[in-house]
Amino acid sequence: MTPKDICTLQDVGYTYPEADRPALDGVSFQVREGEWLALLGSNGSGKSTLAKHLNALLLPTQGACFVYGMDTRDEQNLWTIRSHVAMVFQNPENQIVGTVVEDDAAFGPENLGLPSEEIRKRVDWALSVTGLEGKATNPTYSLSGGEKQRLAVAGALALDPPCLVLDEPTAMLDPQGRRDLLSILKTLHSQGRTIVYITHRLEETVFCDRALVLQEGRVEWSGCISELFTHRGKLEEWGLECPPFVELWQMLVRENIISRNTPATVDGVRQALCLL
Amino acid sequence: MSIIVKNLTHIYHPSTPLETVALKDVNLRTEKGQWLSIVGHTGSGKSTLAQYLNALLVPEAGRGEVSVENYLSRPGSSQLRSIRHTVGLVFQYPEQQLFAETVFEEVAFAPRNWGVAEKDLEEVVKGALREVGLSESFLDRNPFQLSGGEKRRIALASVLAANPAYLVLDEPTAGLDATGRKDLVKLLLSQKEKGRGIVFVTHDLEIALTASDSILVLEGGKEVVQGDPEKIVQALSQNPVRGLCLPEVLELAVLLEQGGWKVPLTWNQRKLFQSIVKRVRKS
Amino acid sequence: MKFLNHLTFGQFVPAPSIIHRLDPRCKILGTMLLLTGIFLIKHPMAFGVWALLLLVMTFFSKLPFSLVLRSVKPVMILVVFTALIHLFFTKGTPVFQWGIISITAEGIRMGAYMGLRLLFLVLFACFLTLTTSPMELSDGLEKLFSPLAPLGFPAHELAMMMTIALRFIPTLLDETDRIMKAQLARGANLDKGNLWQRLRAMLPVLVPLFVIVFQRADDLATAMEARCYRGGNGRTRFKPLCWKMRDSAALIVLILTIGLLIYIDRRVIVL
Repeated sequence: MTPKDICTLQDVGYTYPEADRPALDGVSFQVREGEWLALLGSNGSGKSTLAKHLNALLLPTQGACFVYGMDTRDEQNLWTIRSHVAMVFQNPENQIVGTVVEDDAAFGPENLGLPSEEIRKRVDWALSVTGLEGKATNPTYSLSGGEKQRLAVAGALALDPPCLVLDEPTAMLDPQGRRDLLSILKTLHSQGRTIVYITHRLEETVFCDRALVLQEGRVEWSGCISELFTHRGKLEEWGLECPPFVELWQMLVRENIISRNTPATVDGVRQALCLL
Repeated sequence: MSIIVKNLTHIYHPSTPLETVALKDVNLRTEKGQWLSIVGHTGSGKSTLAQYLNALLVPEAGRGEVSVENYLSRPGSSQLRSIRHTVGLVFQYPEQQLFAETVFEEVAFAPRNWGVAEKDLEEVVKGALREVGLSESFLDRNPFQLSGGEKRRIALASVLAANPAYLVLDEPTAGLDATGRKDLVKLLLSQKEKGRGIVFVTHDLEIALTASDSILVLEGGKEVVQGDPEKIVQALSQNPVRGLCLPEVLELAVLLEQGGWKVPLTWNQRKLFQSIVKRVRKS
Repeated sequence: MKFLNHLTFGQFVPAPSIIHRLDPRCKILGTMLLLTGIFLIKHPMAFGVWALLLLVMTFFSKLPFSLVLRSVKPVMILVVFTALIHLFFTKGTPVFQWGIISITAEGIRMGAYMGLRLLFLVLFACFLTLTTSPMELSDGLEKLFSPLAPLGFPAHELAMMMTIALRFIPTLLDETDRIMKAQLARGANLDKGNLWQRLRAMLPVLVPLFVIVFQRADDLATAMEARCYRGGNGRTRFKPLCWKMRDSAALIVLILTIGLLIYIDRRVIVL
């Protein structure tokens, strides 16, 4: 059974007010249910602008965007769309509303008008998935940057959205914080949630199924992650840096020491090498 | 002429329920023209240590000693301003400290504070902009209308304009993409060539290993190990430090070595590749 | 600066007491009643009653009395100032003279009276904030003012603004600290000169702070919208306020006490 398309962009164009050139120009693609899609591009490529179309924070100035079959331009669909596609942003500090951890996680469900017991269930679940259940009654200002970002994810999860969009969520985190966040996303992905992950760091896309590369508002390439890693020269053209480990993976694949199907992770490569 | 820190201890909120030991008996020494990196997890005390190096924090009685080019850092000392002039400190996300209407005013702020005459300011500002790779055309522009990368360069220029002997930078690569990181490291290396002492506070071990002359590793406010990159790699491969992630290439090298492979403990992907190929071809 | 986060003006101190568990609406209304009482009741014996009430309330709140007294420290200057103004400037029969400074018997009485009044005002207000979390206060105020909402009063919006402001106070204090340090590192001199010079010197701290605050507000608004925020309509509460018997009981006791005091006060004055 082919997975259905939950988001469809048809020739979407977007120009910011007072901008002289469009941020998005004729973008068409689909997000498939259950996939972990990476949206890659250098700064200014339009990836954040694109992400904001997925939950109707921005409406296309050209073309159309459909989320779970609903047209984002139809105002009536707004809140249903946003409860289906939840978004996490770059700055952990600027997403937190509540003074106490569990109160902040409850913000979304409160907005949905859910009864108190249901909110309790969702908050407890969201905090346990993100590893924050021990800090439920702590004040939010006492959390570290990584914990605040995990709380932002918990707040989005409390809406119980089938799809999660994350816009450069690790940009302001330290390496440990990045690893913690990615491991949470891996769990969510394995449970069937659709994840759209915007980044310029190639090393964070190793667990993704598919990738889309944007440049100057246009889709330059789309395909599987392993295919992307083998595109040596193209990456630089697209303004993407090939991380040292991925470069190592590429060299080993080219020499036929490991196969293309080996995941570009430390464990993956080590296992492949030790089997030789 | 150097920065010397001896047995430094810092306690936040002493004698209250919120008491935390941020630094415990930390020692370091660095000279002009040297690159020292201070690495550690968030909360390891590295930012606190950075603030001691330019006298924003001053050692309490009995809690250690900090001296910068023979100026002693003591509470109430008149030498504190001299220390702040000698050691330039760049905070994380320095573009957040921009306040002036023009780039000129922003970059002139520090040298003016340190007593540079008005007539000399223009040359000083232009010089600082050149050092960060920005042209004179930026002088009249509004700093708030520049791109993120340009803002960061302006913030850096504003500290360089004071011509400090040392540059202490707290997580200067935060929020930068790979190109931005490379450019910054290049810039700092050229500053080091010019004779400035660089103190680079970071949790990015990769940059620290590649660019430093020596590295100080902190964990929970205490020194774990201090020395040149080779020594640090040896130490970390045997005893991992909480919150510090090894660069992936190095991590693989360590795991392979533990599995019996004869590979160098390197974070350079080409070196590791060559030695893997050799090993595989042999068998 | 971090220290301030934990002990700013009558900051909430949690404790497992019945006072803490009272509905915030009850506590807000109760405090309003007490403040009204302090103003209306003229007889100086009332101060004894207020002191007694405060002791009883503190006992039930399981907080140390010294903490309650300490919480008024920031405002003590105002209290002392008020007392002194009345002490030196009330006309009447002089008791003490020294050059142009004269202290009258009436002055002593007024000074003590006004000072004590202000002191108790502040003490009861601090008691409210010590035993009620900012979130509860915001919820309580919102609920109390909600009947006015259909008339156009933005009860929910004000409460949300208050919650967000409270949530960001520690963050902004940290940021101010950071920016000040950054400018100090660039040689800024923040404690030299007269008032005007010092204000000018604060510009490199205030401008970046404003920029950050506006950016923050923008980001936060976007994040709230992404989490389906659309104002107060249809919003439920995670921890809804629940008025209990004990709230009614506490309020009734207070109403009766103050009512009785007002009655006695009137009778005594008449007599």
